[in-house]
Parts: sequence; C-alpha cells; structure tokens
Amino acid sequence: MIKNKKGMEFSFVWLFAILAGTAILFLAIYGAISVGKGMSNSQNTLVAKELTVISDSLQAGGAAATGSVIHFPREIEIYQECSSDSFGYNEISTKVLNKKGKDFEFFGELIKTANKYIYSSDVASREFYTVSYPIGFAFEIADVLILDSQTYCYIGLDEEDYFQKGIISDLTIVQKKALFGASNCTEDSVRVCFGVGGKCDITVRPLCSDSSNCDSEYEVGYVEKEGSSVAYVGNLLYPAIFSPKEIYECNTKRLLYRQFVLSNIYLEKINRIGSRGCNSALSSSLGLLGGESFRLSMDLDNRDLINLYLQTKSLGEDDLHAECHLWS
Amino acid sequence: MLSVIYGLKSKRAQFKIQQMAFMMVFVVIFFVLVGMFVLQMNLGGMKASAREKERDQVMSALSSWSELSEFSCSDNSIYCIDEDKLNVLISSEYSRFYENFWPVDSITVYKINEDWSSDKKPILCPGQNCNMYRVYDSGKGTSEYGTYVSICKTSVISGVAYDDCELGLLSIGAKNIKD
Repeated sequence: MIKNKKGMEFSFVWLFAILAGTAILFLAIYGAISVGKGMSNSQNTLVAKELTVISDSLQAGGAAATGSVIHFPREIEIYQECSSDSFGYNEISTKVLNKKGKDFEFFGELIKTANKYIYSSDVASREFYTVSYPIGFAFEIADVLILDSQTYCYIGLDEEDYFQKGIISDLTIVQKKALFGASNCTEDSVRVCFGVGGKCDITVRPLCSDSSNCDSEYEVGYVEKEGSSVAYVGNLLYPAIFSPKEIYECNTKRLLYRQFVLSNIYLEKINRIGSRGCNSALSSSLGLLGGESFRLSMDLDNRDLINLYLQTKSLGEDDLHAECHLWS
Repeated sequence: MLSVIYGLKSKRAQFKIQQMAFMMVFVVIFFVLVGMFVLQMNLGGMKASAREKERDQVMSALSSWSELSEFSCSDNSIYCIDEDKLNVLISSEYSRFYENFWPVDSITVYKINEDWSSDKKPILCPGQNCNMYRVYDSGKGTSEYGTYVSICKTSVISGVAYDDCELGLLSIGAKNIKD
C-alpha cells in the first residue's frame, strides 16, 4: 500500500513537470515563430513601402518616357490589388523569397497609394524593369509606372516606319534586352505580335485606318492576351501589354476619373482667366471630355474609350493655338 | 506511525510541487521578458524605418509634385505652380474630391510677397492680400518640409497674354518624421 502511494507521488510530480514543461516549450516555440513571422512581415512591408516611395523618382515627370532597373539582393515577388472607386488606389505587397526560392514566405502588409498608377506583373525576380509614360487624351493626366521582369520578343514592327520606330524605341526603354523579330525570340521570352498572326502570347491589333483621326497605325487598338481583349489609346498601349487585364482596366478607370476632375479644374480656370481678359473657346469640348470620362470611369467600354480619345485629342492642338493656354 | 510517515511524505510532495510551480512561473516570466525585449528592439527598428520612409516620401513629393497636373503651370515648367488651379483646389468641393488622394498629412503653398514675414501670421486664401493656400490638411501634420516654387497666373495687358509670377513656398507635412 505504501509502495503504491510512493509510486503515485513520483508519477504525479513527473506528470506535472512534463505537462508544464511541454506547455512552456510550446509557448516559447510559438512565440519564436510569431516573432520570426512578424520580422519577415515587417521586412516585406518595408520593401513594398520603399517601392512606392522610389516610384516618385521613377516617374516620367514631363519627359516622354523614362526607364530604369531596380536590383534586389534577393528574389522578390510583387502582389498588386487595385480599386477604381472614384480616384481609387493601388495596393502593393511584396514577398522576399528565401535563398532556395521556395514558397515558404508570406506577403507583407499591403501598401496603399492613391496618387500613383502602377502596373506590375506577378513574376518573381531579382531584377525589375521600370518604365514611366505620361498618359492623357488632350492634356496630361498622370504618369504611369510599369514594373516588369520578363523578357519580351516583339514581332511585326517595321523599323523603317517612323512611328513604329518610336514604339521600338519606347519598348527598348522598358527592357534593355528586348528582342525584336521572330527569328530572335527565345524559348522563355513572351512573344508580342504587332498586327501579325502566328505563335503569339500577346497580340496588338491596330484600329487606325487612313480615314480615322490617327497620327500613326498603332495609336489606338486592342491588345489580346490570355483569351481576352482590352482597348488601348496612345501610351496606354504599354500598360495593356505588360499588365494583367484586371489591373489595366482598374487603373484606366482611375485615370479617367482623374481626367474628369482635371477637366472640371480647367473649366473653373477658364472662368478665372476670363475675368482677367483671357478667353478660351474650349469650354464645351472640355465639358464633353469630363462628362464622358466620368461615365467611362464608372463603366469602361472599349469602343467608347477609343471614340472619346479620337474626338478630344485635337483639344491639345486647340489649346496650343489659343490666346491663353490652359495646359500647353 | 504509518499516518505520520504518510503525512510527512505528503508534505514533502506538496513542497516539491510548489517548488516546481514556482520554477515554472519563473521560467515563463523569463521567456516573456526575453520576448518583450526582442519585440521592443524589433518595434524600435520598425518605427525608425517607418519614419525614414515617411521622410523619403515627403522629400520625393517635394521634388516632383509641382509637376502634377493639379499644380503644374500651363507651360509645364518645373517648380512652377498655377495660382488659378490653387484657387480651385482650396475650394470645399475639390478639397472633398481629393480628401483621400494625397499620401501626406498637409499641403500648403505660401506666397512670399510683401506681406510675407516668418514672424507674421499668414493670411488664409481666399481673401484680400492672402498669402497661404491650404490645399490639404488632415490635422495630423507635425513636421513640415518645403521647397521654393514660382506661383504663376496668366494675365492680359494691352491684348498680350503673359505669365504673372511670384515667389512661393510649397510646404508638405507628415506626422512625427522629426522624432
């Protein structure tokens, strides 16, 4: 009987020690993992914040286009979300991949930016090409920023054509190692075909004809990829090629909303300069541009986007020749 | 006799359990303290990085914002702000439009004219002889950084249009960046 009770005493102490020890060990491991995750999360969040901060200096800022390359010490993946409610916003998040490139890491917090238009692909890389173009119909709305890391091969562009030569030059800004011509395409490159058929990942279909109000063949048109098609006008050609359809359409709506607000600012400016003896005849055209931009920012329609661009692009010329300039 | 021995053993066992419980409590407190120390270090570093990024954001905004379509002059010259656009932006309708647009806590443009003095309270626009355009204020700004700009408006004299410009200061505020 005594022996039995001794046995009970011994086993209870050990049982208590084992249970409490396990609980403490579990809490310590859980705490260490949480702290590790938190540190990884803050590192990923800082990279995303850094990207949005440096994107200010990567913007075209009055230039026709600017390009640059961002090198990261480790491979990173960019995740992007977009909201097109009024001015809308872009949210970007990054994930720094471990040395083996295995997917054990988590994306950091989403960094919100309402005054930038970022188009990025979700491919992991240590090197990202950045390019910025000004976007506008009659007047400049904003600079857009493209982030990409893939190698593209462009087929069907004619180097002898003045305007297509311009596109080649712009595409070379996007990517210094851009490949031109079907014979130069590599296995891993994304094949972008301009007007031609064949084995293409992305196809650009121009919509300009001699009778339309275009300066060049590829000024407006459609970009087809992954079984869907989006309309582009002017410099929106490049975001349409390099970004996913959802991001492209969302940012285009945001740009159209900003164009609506800017049109109203210019309408107010006409009233103000009018009181100082400066008259402008652009009120009705600006009213049309603003109203249609607002409608398209709510419900984007491919055909209407192209029509609005072609109808209002002459406004820029009109302002240039006016007595008092609004924006040119 | 047996109950005395049992009582002594039972007390010893209770003492051992108490000893172990105290030990466990100390071990838990030790781990909690170590965890708090690591978290504090980590949070301190994060706060410093966040402040640095805020400051970088303000600096990059200062160098590029005069080129934004909302501010830029009609000839798109650098560091030039259109006064007519400023007057539109400070109206309540447009302040509401742009409420969630700016990534900073305040945007103010000062006209450095004859009424300007660092020890004199600026006069808020719109108003007579005003020299301060409060474009945006979230109410959180504690530190302000500025850059000199031209503030221009188009006028006509004897039928000829010209840009009437004054010296100005574009000031952008962000919270706690000097801490």
